[in-house]
Order: sequence, then structure tokens, then C-alpha cells
Amino acid sequence: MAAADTDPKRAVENEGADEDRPGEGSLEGDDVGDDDDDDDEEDEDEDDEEDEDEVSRRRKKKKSGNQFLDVEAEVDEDEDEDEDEDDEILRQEFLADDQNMEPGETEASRSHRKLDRTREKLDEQDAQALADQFKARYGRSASARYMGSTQNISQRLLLPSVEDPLIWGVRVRNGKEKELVKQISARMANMKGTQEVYSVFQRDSFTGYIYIEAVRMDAVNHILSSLPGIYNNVGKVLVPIEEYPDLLRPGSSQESRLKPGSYVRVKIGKYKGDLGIVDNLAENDLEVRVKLVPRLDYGRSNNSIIDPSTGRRRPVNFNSKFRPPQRLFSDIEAQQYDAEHLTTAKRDRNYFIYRNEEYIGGFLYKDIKFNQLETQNVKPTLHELTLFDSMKDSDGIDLQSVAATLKNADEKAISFQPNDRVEIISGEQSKMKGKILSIAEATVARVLLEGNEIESDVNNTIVEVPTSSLRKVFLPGDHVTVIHGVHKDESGLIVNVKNNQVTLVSDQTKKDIMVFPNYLVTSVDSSTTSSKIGRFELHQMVNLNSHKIGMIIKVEKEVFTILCTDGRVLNLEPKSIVSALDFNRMTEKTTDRNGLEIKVGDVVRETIGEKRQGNIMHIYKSFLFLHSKTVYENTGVFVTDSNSVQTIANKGSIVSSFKVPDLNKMNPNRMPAPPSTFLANQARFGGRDMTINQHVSVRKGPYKGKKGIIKDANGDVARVEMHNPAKIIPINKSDLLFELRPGSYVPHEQFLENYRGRNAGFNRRPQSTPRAGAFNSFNNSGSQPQPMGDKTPSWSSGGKTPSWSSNGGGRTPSWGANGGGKTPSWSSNGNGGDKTPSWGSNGGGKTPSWNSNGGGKTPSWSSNGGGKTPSYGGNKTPSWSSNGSGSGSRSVWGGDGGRTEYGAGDRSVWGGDSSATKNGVDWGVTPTVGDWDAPTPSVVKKEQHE
Amino acid sequence: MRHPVHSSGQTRTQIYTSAEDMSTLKRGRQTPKLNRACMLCGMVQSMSQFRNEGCPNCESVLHFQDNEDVIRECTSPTFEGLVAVRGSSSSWVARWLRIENFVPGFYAVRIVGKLPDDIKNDLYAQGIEYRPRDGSVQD
Repeated sequence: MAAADTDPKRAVENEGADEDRPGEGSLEGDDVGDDDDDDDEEDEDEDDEEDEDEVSRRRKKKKSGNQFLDVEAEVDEDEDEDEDEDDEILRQEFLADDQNMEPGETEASRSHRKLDRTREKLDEQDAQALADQFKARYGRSASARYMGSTQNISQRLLLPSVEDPLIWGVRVRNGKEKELVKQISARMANMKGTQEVYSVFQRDSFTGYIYIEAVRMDAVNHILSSLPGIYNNVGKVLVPIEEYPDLLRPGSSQESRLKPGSYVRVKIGKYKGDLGIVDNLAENDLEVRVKLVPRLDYGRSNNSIIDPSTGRRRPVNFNSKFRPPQRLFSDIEAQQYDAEHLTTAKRDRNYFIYRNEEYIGGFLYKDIKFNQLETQNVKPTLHELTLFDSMKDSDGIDLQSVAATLKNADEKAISFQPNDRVEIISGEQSKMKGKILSIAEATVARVLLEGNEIESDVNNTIVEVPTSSLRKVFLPGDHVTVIHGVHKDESGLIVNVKNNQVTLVSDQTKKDIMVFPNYLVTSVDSSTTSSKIGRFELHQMVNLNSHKIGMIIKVEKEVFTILCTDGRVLNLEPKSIVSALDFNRMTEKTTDRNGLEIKVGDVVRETIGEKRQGNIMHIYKSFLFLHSKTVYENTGVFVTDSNSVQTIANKGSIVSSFKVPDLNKMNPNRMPAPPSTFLANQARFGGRDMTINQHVSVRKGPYKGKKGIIKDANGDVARVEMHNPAKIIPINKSDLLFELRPGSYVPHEQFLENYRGRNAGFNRRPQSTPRAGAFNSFNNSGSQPQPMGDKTPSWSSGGKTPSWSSNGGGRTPSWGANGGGKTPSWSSNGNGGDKTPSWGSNGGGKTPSWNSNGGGKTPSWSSNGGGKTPSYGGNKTPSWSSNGSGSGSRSVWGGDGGRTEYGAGDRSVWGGDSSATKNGVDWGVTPTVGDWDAPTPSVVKKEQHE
Repeated sequence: MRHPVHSSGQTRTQIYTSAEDMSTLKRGRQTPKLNRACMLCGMVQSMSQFRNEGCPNCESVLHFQDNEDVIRECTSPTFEGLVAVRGSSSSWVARWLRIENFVPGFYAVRIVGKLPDDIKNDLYAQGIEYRPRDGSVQD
């Protein structure tokens, strides 16, 4: 092509040359470079001119260039070619040239030339584009005549190798994957430096990721730079080569493919949400013929809907919100209301075409696009299945397909229990009926076959069946609870059982409910209306005969279900129950295997066996009746032995603070004085607690050393208002030191004694000196049976009173002597003993027992008691030992109730001891005490003293 | 909202449909919707692109242009896995998907649907082997 061959620069040069020769330029100016001949001619001309003066040639060139080229371009050329020496001259000349334009050269011709040049340029570009277009249009299709070149190569040969580019997984915002693929694709086409990114893709199964194929990481970073929606800080995952094919697998094999018979749901339109059954699949997998339950009104609603804008009736377009209910197609109704739209295509009575849709057997058969169907995890409800089932009697619900569809349903909710009547629905023993004996692992049940009439020889054999192939059998009249599905937690009475459907009347709504039998359990709730019949009521302990005790766990009309202490369950009429047992709540106590007291309301757990856990409902001897919400049998009640349970939680008990018996407290040597049972009791008898408003100092525990005032006291515990921090803290009184007068502190027991003595002394003999008064008054009070009178007779009859009083008497002056009653000074004070012989012998002799106990604060007192007065010490030992199990034992000692229990002898701590009967004889030397002897050297020493 | 978990194991493949693919590339400018995939080559384009320009790869054999029926039969609105390729011969992804000779653009990994039998036979007669891209063929 001429245009393509022409070099614009050369054309300009030619022109310039032409211009040099007057007369020729104007002629040739218009058809520059048109002719090859011209070209040659001009070349020759140029050659000739070259011989001439160089400067003049340049001048000419300048001149011509000036006319036809831009000034800037001219200068550029100048710099390229020219020598420096004549630079200045040239410039002057060319400036002069510019002004001295030749008269023949008009402005018009100049613009003509310019126009020519642009046109020429445009032509040239057009040609290029045209060529490209042609190439694009024909060249590609010619070369790419469907180039599926690798189609016949097995994909195995295409497996990635190390030479292949790498694939990075990039974390992106969820849901933005496709958009980002598009954006990155646009960058791949337009952005510079992205050549190394070969592809980018996303998969719906890998949400939150896009994958980029590239050779180098920085190429990935480059193409992703400042793209919104990319999580840069998460980092990019380099996909291992062996996982490449998985990333691009067309489909997972697990995905269920639609088959005729599969359940689907319609996603949009009038039938949205409706269940459908796939009838057939279109050839290209894009459309599915689905069997649906029609929603028709046969044009009746057309009459009622009047468009307000036009005032005319308009056809109703049903949608998912407003639509007729599901009902099978009725040709009679269609005939009646909307006959003009009904055409019976075949004379077959079940085939109709109504409003261009096919109805076969009452069902709508409709072609629906694949993407308008929900195909995954479709769980038909029983109601829907019943709709599909209702027309044909022969074609019952396909249990197989129901089972397959429900496979993903939560089967854990279906629970079988022992004694459930079941039918085996699959496997060799299919259709056998039986009773569940036990369930080993929640999935395998041991079933005792029974009640099979056809093959009676299998009866009474035990088989193990997976629970998935079991179906519960219920009878009309059973009271059941629904444990799964929409009707979960409703309970009711079964009125009808048909095939795999159970109809029951709900207790709550009084309506009929249809459920699968496996969704039912025999009701755990006992009927609330009849919890009490005659003398007996639910959960009452009853006496069945002289040696049989049980608890009522179920009350029915005229029959009780009773759980006996041996675990058996009896059904008895009311008349065969002897009497109800009324327990005093306070006496229903026993100990668990750790010796901890348990009572009604506590939560315990079995340490052996099934490790059931439950609330104690009743305690009878060592039998515990427990109730558990997780146990289904016997309405959640079971019986167990107290020796096999462990306390989990106590109901409102202080004892729960420790779990194991504190051995330290068993050892009298390591033990500070027993919290002086009788003294404490005495303190209690005195009405208002005398410790209240006393200034105290804490001698033990986290608050050790802090001072405070007792604000309230209850038994052993005083609520102490601390000076710092200013708050009220409950502290054991034995952990407190009481301030008798500023700076002098005594322990609690001493305080009590002192307080009592002082009160008594002041009250009775106000004229006496404090010391004598205290002494006397204490003697008085001691010798008088009055404080002891509250005690048990055995205790006072044991002849301890004198010794105690003498002991106390002996001690009292020493306190007095020491003034403050400070224990250390008292113990170290040898001469304190001078006052009383008893004291002197003790203090002077420094018996080992005394010494050994000297380290403590109160021990001196206790050793005193223990060492000197056998009866006293003896008393203390048992009482102390019983103390070990808690505060309750003090009442054992002091109160009548305790004595009773003591006497009963078979349930208390003492129960195990054969010496129970001997207890009354002599406390000090009974084998009982002997048991405790070993760790109590003081007792031994006491004997030595004697 | 999709599940945020990236689980490569048991995944629930969600086939996305044309209806939800409405995202635009830049605000204000409506980009062609990528809502149909050619069943033969996997090219993803909009319906109108198929109608106006045909499939850039398969036009010579399938003749989509101005032929709604062919478009309807031979392209699928249901596909999954959007891949953008540059058209470079060194791309393993393109090779694995057997699209390395095709024009750059968007392709689908999995396309639901199969070409009708007559078109399949027609292709076979032209020496072109049709390999369904719906995951039913494993090799």
C-alpha cells in the first residue's frame, strides 16, 4: 500500500528539497511521495546538492524544516546533527529566515500541507486498525477452530509438577470472592507488571479464599496491592502441589446427585418451600420434572380481587406469601368453577391439563429449573409425606427413602430405654418384635425377642441390634412424650398407631399430633392429676411389710409403683401397703463413703457402677433414694447404698467446706483445746452471747494479728468488725483472743470462764476482792450442779463434777495471781501453783503431758484437765473425738438428741464400735477410748498419773 | 452469609446461580453479568454477550450468535468456580482445566448440564470430543 510505504519524514525532506528550487516546490507540494519516480529523482537531486556548500544545504534544510516542521522538532534535529561552532550563526539566520518569508509562500498553502499530513497520518492509523480488526475477526477464528488440543490427554498427565507456577491462597472477605476474581482479572489485563500472574480463581466450597497462580510471591502482592476486601495481615497460603487438583476438582463425589424419587424443595414462586419429589430429570440436567401437591383455587379468588386502580377484576398472581393451601387436584372443582381452562388430554381419568399444567393422580407435575430447587438436606416432615401419601393406598410411605432422607437428621435425639417395646425394621431379624433389655453404647441395643406369633421359636432369644434399625412400638393408651421434632416436649396419650405413624392427643393442646414412633418415649412425667391417692402420695416412703421399705415412684389409679430398697420395682395396690413412713427431716442423715454427713437434698454421685448422680430424696438406714434428671427408668428415681456415694454438693451446710476428715483434728496432741464443748454450751445457755461487743484480736488465719470488735455471735462463729480493713468477717471464736483489759488478751475459753466467774463473783459477793471473789464464785458455781444440770446425767453422775470443780478451783487463783490470765505467764509461773496443791503438783512436777502441750496457747489448760482429772480428761476425749466430724457432735454430747443417737449406736460414728454398750461404764478406759488412745499420749500419761 | 470456615474436607458445594451474581466491578458502571457458561469450553459470559458475540472459543462449531436456542441448550446458568485466566501457555490451571488454548477471560470449573445429544454427535462428526464439565467424567 502506498500509504504504508511512505515515510513521513522522508516526505518532508523531499518537500524541503523541492522548496529549495523555486517553481518546482509549488508543483510537487501536493502530491508528495506519490510517485516512485519522483522519489528517485529527488534523491539524485539531493546527491548533487551534497557536493555543494555544506552550509547552504543546512540552511536550506533549516528553512524547509522551519516551514514544515514544528519549531521544537527543528531544534531537536539541530542539536543532533549540527556542530557547535556555527550554532549561533545558524540561529540568527533561521530567525531572519522566518521573518523573511518568500512572497510566493502563502498562509493557505501552508495549511493545506498541514491538512494533507494529518490526513495521511489518519489513513495510516486506520489501515493499521483495519488490519488488526481483520486479524481479530478472521485470523483468530481461522486459527482457533475450537482448539481443544489437550482434550484427549488424560488428566493424569496434566498433574502439576515443580516447574508449574505456584498457587497462593489469599484470605479475602467472605462473599467477595467472585468480585475480587473479576477485579484481579481486570488488573491482569490492564495493570503493568502483572505478567507473572497467570490465573486467579475461587471455589464456592472454599469460602473466604481466592487462589492466584503465579511464579513469584511479589507478583501476587503487586496485583493485590490496595485491593479492598483482601486480608493482608492473615498471610498468603502456598498451596502444596499435590493439592492443586483438589482445588479444581469439578465436583465432590459426596454430593448427592438428584435421582427420580429424591426429595427437593422449590426455592421460588408460588410453591416456594413446598416439598417435591423428583419425577424425572431433563436430558441436560437443567430442568427437573417435579411432583408437587398443587395449590389451586380454581379461579375462585379472581372474583374477589378487584384492582383498585382500574376497577376491574384482575387475575391473582399467587406468590409465596399469598397462595391457596396445598390440596390435591380435583377435576370436579375445576369443572365446576373453571371449566374453560380444563382440558382432559387423555381419557385416562387421572390425567388432566389445567391451565397448561399437568395433573396426574391429583399431583402437579411441573418442570422446574434446577437452580430453582433446593436439593441438599431436604428433610420432609411427616405432614408433607402424608400429603403425598394420601392419594394412593397401595403406595405407602417409602420407609427406605424416608430413612435415607432423615439420615442426616439428628439421630442422637432418638433414645431407646430398657423395657421399650421395639420392632426390628431391617436386617435378618426384620419384623421381629421385642423388648429392649439394655443399651450398651447408645447405638447397640440388646433386645429380647418376644411376642412374635409367626415365628414363635425365636421368642426369648436375645439379639443385639443397632438402634438405627429399631422402631419403637407403642400401643394406644400409652402416655408418651415427644422427644424430637416440631412437637418436641409435648406429651400425650396415644390414640392410634398405624404403620409408622403414631397419633396422640397432646396434654397441652388437646389436639391430635402425628409423629414417628421413634420420636416418642414413654412419659417420664407421672401424671400430675393423680399424685395422691388416699393415704399415700408420690415420692413417699412406705412400709410394705415388717422388713420392707420402699418409695412410691408412680401413682396410678388404684396402683402404686414402688421402688424398694433392694432396687426392685413393685406394682402394688394401696391396700397392700402397710403404712406410710414419716421421717423427721432432721433424722434423715447418714454418711457417705468418706464419712461426711449427707442429708436429704444433698447431691451425691455413685463412686462405682454407673456413676449416677442425683438428689437425695429420702434416706432410710444406709439406703439412699436418689432422683436424677438424666435417668429415664423409674421416672428418674433409683436406690443406692450410702457407702458407695460421694458427696457432690451439700444443701446449705457449713460442713461442705471440707471434703476429707482433718486428721490433725483427730490428734489431741496437735489439736488445740477442744472448743470446750460444755463451756460453749454454757455460753449458749446464757442467753445473749457474752462475746458480743468484746474487743478481740485474731490469732489465726489470714487476719491474724488484726483487731476488731465482735458485732454478732452465733454459736462458735463470731462476726467481727475489723478495725482495718473496716468490714465484718465471720471468725471462729476459738481463733480469737479476747481483750479483758487494754493490752491483755485471753483465749475464748478462758474468757468465758473469766467472764462467768467475774459475773458470778461480782453478782454474788460484791464485797469480796476480785481474786477471792473469782475463786469463790468459781468454786460456788463449780460445786453447784447448776451448770452441770443442763448436762447429761451420765456425765454428772460420773463423779466428774468435783474433780472438775476442784480443778477449776485450782486454776482460778493462778489466774488471779497472774492478773491478766495470760496463758504463757500462767504456764511459766511456777509459783502460781503454790496457791493450790493440785495446781502445784501439776505445775511443779511439770508432767510430761503438761510440758508437751506447753507449746500451744490453750494446751496447758487442756493438759491440765487431761492430766490431772482422769474423768475430766476421759470425758473430753470422746467428746472431742465426736467433735471431729463437726459442730453437730457437740449436741451429740450435750443434747438429748445426741445421747439418743449415741445410745442407738448403729449409725453414728460410734456405730461401728463394739463398745457401744460399754460406753456408759467408764469413759476413760473403755475400748472406745482405747481406739483413740494411740494418738493421744496425754491419756496414757493421765493413767500414769493415777 | 456464607460460612466463614475454610474447610477443605467435607465441603458443601454451593452452586451459585445467575440471580445472585449481580456484583458490579466499579460503582456506577454496569459490567456485563457473568451468568452463563458455555458447556463446551467453559467460558463464562453474559447471555447478551453470547447472543451478540457468541462464544469466542466455540463460535465456529456451536454458532451461538443470534441463536437463542443454541445458547439455551449449550450454555448453563448453573456453574461454580470462577477462574480468570490470562491465556498464558505456562498456566497450569488453564492446562488442568483444558482451557489453555482458549482466549483469556472467565471460565467455570464446574458447569451443570450436558450438551444435547444431537449437538454432541455433530461435534463428534467434526472430530471434537465433548467432555462434560459437570464433574460426571473423571479421568
